[in-house]
Amino acid sequence: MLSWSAIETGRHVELAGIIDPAVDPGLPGGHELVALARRSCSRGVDRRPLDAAADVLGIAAAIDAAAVAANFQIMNRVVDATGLPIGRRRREENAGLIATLGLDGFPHAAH
Amino acid sequence: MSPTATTAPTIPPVFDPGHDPVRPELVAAIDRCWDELARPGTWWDAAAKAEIVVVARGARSGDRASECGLPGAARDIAALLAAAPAVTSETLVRAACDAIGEPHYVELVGVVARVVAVDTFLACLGHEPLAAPAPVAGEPTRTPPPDGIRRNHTWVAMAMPVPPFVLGAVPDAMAAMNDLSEPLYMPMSDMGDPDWRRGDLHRTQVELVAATVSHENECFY
Repeated sequence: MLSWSAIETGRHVELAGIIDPAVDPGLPGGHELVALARRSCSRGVDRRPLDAAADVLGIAAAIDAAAVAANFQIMNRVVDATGLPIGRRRREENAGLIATLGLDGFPHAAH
Repeated sequence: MSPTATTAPTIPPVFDPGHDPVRPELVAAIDRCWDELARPGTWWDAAAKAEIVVVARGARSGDRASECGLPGAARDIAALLAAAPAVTSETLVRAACDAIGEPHYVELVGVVARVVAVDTFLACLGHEPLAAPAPVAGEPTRTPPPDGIRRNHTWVAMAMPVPPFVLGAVPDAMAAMNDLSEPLYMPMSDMGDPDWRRGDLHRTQVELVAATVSHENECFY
């Protein structure tokens, strides 16, 4: 969805920014959004990444980004718990993303 | 809409965002989620759902629940889904379904996923987790899975092989998931719009967050 939305709207996203903090994702507040998303997967309460994102994007956008992060805690679990396959077509369409992010090493890559 | 949204509320709102400008519909969705978790479900009663919440939270904080009224298979798979969802496999899932019943498993997945999501959102805002839902007495509805669900190269039967419908074997669980998911993410009707915005957040920024969380969780999908 990231590549698709970027291509369709004429934006360039540097996918490596998702895994490499030295790479600018290329979107406004990209570094801060990635940091917030990463921190959302850790244990414990920590508001600092939200405040950092709010400094760049505004508090409402930062809160909405935190909500998106929370939603993908749902989505990741329900697809991994039910064995939802990605399908051959989507795998082919996203070959670049899969290679850039090393997704073939993930446990469900063979499914 | 949540299956409980049209019933008279008997549980007071639980989420107070304080001074943060959390969208009212999101505050309401979190309250509905907690209300639903406190009530008997389709296959689990409210006490069991509350135990699933405790197990899921314990697993994410590194604590294993020693005293638990859940069947062992339910406890183990709930803990795994909460802490390391990518480690699931067809073998593990089928074993859990064989032990507790596939509809029970599907409902459990929904409970775990929602509590992790709400805890995640609050933690990002600097809030401690909400108190565990106080179980409401009553029996599960035991509504049978609907006609037409099937496995389509998936590990459980579902309405359609796309994320909003994977819990379709338990319609109330699917509705409860989507009742929380849409305010957190985006309305289903806008999914096809690559230029969609939520306030100042563009779809590409939304998907950057989504992709990063999915990568952290090692979710291939």
